Amino acid sequence: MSKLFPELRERLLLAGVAPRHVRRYLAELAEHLADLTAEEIAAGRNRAEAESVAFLRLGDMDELARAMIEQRQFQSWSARAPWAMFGLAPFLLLAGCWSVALFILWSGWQAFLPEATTPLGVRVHGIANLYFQLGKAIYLGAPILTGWFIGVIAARQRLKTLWPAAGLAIVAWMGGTGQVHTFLAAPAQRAGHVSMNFVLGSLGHGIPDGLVHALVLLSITTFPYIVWHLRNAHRLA
Amino acid sequence: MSFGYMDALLRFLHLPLRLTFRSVPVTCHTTNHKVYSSVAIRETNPNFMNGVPELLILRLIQQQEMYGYEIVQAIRSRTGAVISVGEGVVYPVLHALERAGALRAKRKTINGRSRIYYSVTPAGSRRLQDLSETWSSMASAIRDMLGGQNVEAVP
Repeated sequence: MSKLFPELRERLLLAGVAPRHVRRYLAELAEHLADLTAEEIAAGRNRAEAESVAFLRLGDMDELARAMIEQRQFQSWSARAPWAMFGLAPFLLLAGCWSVALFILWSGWQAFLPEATTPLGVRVHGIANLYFQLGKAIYLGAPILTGWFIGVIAARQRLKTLWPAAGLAIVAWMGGTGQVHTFLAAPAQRAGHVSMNFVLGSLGHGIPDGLVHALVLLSITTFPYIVWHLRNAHRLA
Repeated sequence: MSFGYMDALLRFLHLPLRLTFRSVPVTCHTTNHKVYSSVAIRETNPNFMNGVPELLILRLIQQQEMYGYEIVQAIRSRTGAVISVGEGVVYPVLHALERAGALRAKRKTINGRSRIYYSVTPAGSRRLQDLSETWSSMASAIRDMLGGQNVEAVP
C-alpha cells in the first residue's frame, strides 16, 4: 500500500476536515482502489502494474485533498469555531459538571444530615456515603476529564497548540482556584446553602495556593497531549 | 452560517435564477479608471461544469442504488468517456449530497464485499428535476447559438 492514504489523512486533518469524514472518505477510497486494481488485473496486467494504474486513476494527492477540503460543511467544529470548542465549551462543561456536584452536596445535606451545620468533613456511612462520594468524584474528576478531552480533540484534529493551550489554561484556572462553601443563612435555619467561588489566594505569602493547584492540574491535564505530541514528532521524523 | 452551508441551502431551496445586485468594477476606456456600477448578476446560474457531477450522479442513482466505483464506471460508459470525473473525487460530491438530504447511504455486503450503496431520496428526486430543467434549457440555448438561430448581426 502506498503512502497516499496516511499522507492524505494527515493533510485533511490538518486542513480541519472532521475525523469521521476523513475516516469514511479514506475507507471508500480504499474500496474503490481495490475495485480498480481488480479491474486492471482482469484486463491482463500484473499486480504491480495494476496497482500503479489504479492509483493514477484514483487521482493524485492534491486533487483528492482539494475535493474534500473545498466542501466546508465537512470541517470540524474545532476548525470552524476554535474559540467555542476550546474557550466556551470547557467552561460550560465544567460549570455543568460542578452544578451537578453542588446539587448532590446540597441535596445530600438536606436528606442525610439535616441537623449538621455543614456536610463537609462529616463522617457518613452506607447510601449517604455513596451519594456524597458520587458528588465528590464528579467535582474532582470534571477538570481532569475535561482537560484530557481537550487533549484528545486536539490530537485527533492535528491542531496547533494555541487553542488547546488556551482551553487547558481555562480548565486549570477554574479547577485550581475553585472553592466550595456551605453555610446556614441563620443559626436556626435548617436549609443550608451551597456556593462556589474562584480564589487565587494571597500574593503576600509566597506562591498563592490557587496558582499551585492550577499548575498541578495543568501538568496533569497536559501530560497526555505532550506525550502524543512527542510521539507524533518522532513518527514524522 | 458559513458560506458553504448557505450555498448548499440556497441550491437546495431551488433558487437557480436568483438575481442579486452587486457592485462590480468596470473599466472606463477613455480615462482607464475603474468605476463601480450596480448590475444584476445571475449569481447561481451554473457556470458550465458546475453542478454537472451532481446531475449525473443523481440521474444514475435514481435508476438503481450504486456504490462509488459503479457510479464512476457508469458515468464513463454512458457518456462515451466524454465526461470523465476524477475517480476519487466523486466521494466528496456523494457525501455532500447525502448531507444535503438528496442521497441516502447504506453499507451492504454483497458477494463478500462490504460497500456503501447510495440511493436517491424524495428531496434528491426534486433536486434532480430542477437540475435537469436548468441544464436542458442551457443546452437548448447553446445548441441554438451553435446552430445559428437567434443570432443577430453585430455592427
